[in-house]
Amino acid sequence: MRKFLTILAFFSALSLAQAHGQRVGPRGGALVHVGNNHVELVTAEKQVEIFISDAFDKPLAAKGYKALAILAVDGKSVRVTLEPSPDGGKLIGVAPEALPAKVKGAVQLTGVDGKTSTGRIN
Amino acid sequence: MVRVFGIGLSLLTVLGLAASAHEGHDHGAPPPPVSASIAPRFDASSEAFELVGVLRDGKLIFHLDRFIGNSPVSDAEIEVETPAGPQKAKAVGGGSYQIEAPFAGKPGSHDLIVTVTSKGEIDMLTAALVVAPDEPGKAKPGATDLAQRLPDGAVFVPKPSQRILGLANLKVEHAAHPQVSILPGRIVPDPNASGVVQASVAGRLSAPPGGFKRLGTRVKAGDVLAIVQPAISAADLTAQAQQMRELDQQVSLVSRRLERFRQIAAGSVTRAQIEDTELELAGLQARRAAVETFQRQPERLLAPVDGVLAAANVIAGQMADPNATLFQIVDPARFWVEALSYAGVVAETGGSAVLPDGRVLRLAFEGAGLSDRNQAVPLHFSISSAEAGLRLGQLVSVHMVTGQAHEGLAVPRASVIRAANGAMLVYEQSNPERFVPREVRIEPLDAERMLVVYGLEAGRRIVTTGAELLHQVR
Repeated sequence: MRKFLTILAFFSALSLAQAHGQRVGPRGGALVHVGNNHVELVTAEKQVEIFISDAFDKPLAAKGYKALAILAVDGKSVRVTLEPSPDGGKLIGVAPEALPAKVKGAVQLTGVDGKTSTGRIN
Repeated sequence: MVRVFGIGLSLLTVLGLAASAHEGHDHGAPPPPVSASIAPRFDASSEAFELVGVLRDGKLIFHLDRFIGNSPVSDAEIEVETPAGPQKAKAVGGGSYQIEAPFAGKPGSHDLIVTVTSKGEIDMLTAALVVAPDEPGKAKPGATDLAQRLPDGAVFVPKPSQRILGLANLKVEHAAHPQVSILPGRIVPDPNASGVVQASVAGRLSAPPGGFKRLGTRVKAGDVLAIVQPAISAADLTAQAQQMRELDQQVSLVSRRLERFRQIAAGSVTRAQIEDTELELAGLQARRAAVETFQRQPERLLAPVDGVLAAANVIAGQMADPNATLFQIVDPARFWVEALSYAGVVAETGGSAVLPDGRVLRLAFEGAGLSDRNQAVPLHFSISSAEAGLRLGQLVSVHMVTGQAHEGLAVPRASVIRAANGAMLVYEQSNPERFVPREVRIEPLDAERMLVVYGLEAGRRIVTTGAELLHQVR
């Protein structure tokens, strides 16, 4: 029981520590709250990928979703539209130019029901 | 055990969720007020900017300001990702921009991404514009939004009104500040850069070549400022005439004697006697000449130091008394401040002085007197900051650093307001258009700032300029 409480305290502390910072997703990208979902944005060169999960971080299929990422690159904004990947696991898009590893911007996610929601990445 | 674990897990989940819930959003700030008389609006903030969007007559108007300072940003480029696609906003001046927003004619929540670019800085802000459906009998928003006090005591001030009131903010930080004592003081001349001109004899004043110098003229040490023609009284003239006659008599007696000595054959009168008589005659003649010219030479009054004529009490033909101050010369770049410390507090550190018009002078400690003056210790400070327009005798409040540090949040004096019930308040800008009064305990810090020791947390944005006007909003 005592061990359990220690673990509980550790996890609570960990969660609280993240409260005001940007969370990092399992793939190393920024994890943000968009509407009722969590979205992880991963960039590699020109490739932009978005992984959708629910509020409990359980991965969701990307089929039926679409997204728009507006990202800041060298003091100007870059617009990237993302569509579901062939395997349906994520949304993918291609930026007109190479992106830095740590990117700032905003994501607009359009759900299966057509409703949009936005999230800010900083 | 399983049940306990279950409860723990739920708790953990709740904690985790609550903690991560507001990523990408404002830090728990309350939503802007919703009032039927106010046009539909949204706000969004980042570390650099804060943005308010207002929907009026089918147009979405953006007001962009700096997050710290609350100053309008007029040179930005704004691109808006609307439900109808991307749109570039048109600048309409004074930090405001607008787009046509036909998409907002439909009630509901409209998600927007606003890209702000200004001077190489780029920020993406996300917001949702909520448009309520039209209901019969519901009040429509007015032509302009009015500042109003909300039921919870907070004040809603729309951005255009904030610009009229000139509201500015400051992020407060916790720090240790040395304490200060406030003393009454006045501007005095620096004794090494000031002087007075007085006549040493009573006499009639006349102008030097070029005339009397006017007030404010810069003079150099040695410049002739006035000429005094000594006045001789009737009694003095009688005594002088009597002395001259006596001297004349003595001169004729001694010159006769000398003549006789020279005629008498050598041997009867010694050489020494002749020489003594010659010396006596020369001495009498010199005294006669001195008495004749005595008190007739005019006295030239010279400037003792370099500086500016601060006072002049001269007019041609005026009779000047000895010891009367005719001119005062000061160096306006080298004034001092004399403060009176009634508590006997003497800290050999600097301080600052506030003029009645609010200007602040930096002071460096010069010295303190040991003898009481009106039960106070006089302290002298030199002014280290260059300030124009000072005058001698001007009253100031001297804020002297006493060396003891106090912990707290420093806020400008203009931020602190006394409420009707006597409480001290500062206004926190919690949202771009929302200001929350915070009751605080304060202590004086220095000429420009007060120290909030209780009632406010670090990192909050406090209204500086315009707080008094904000407090008047009903």
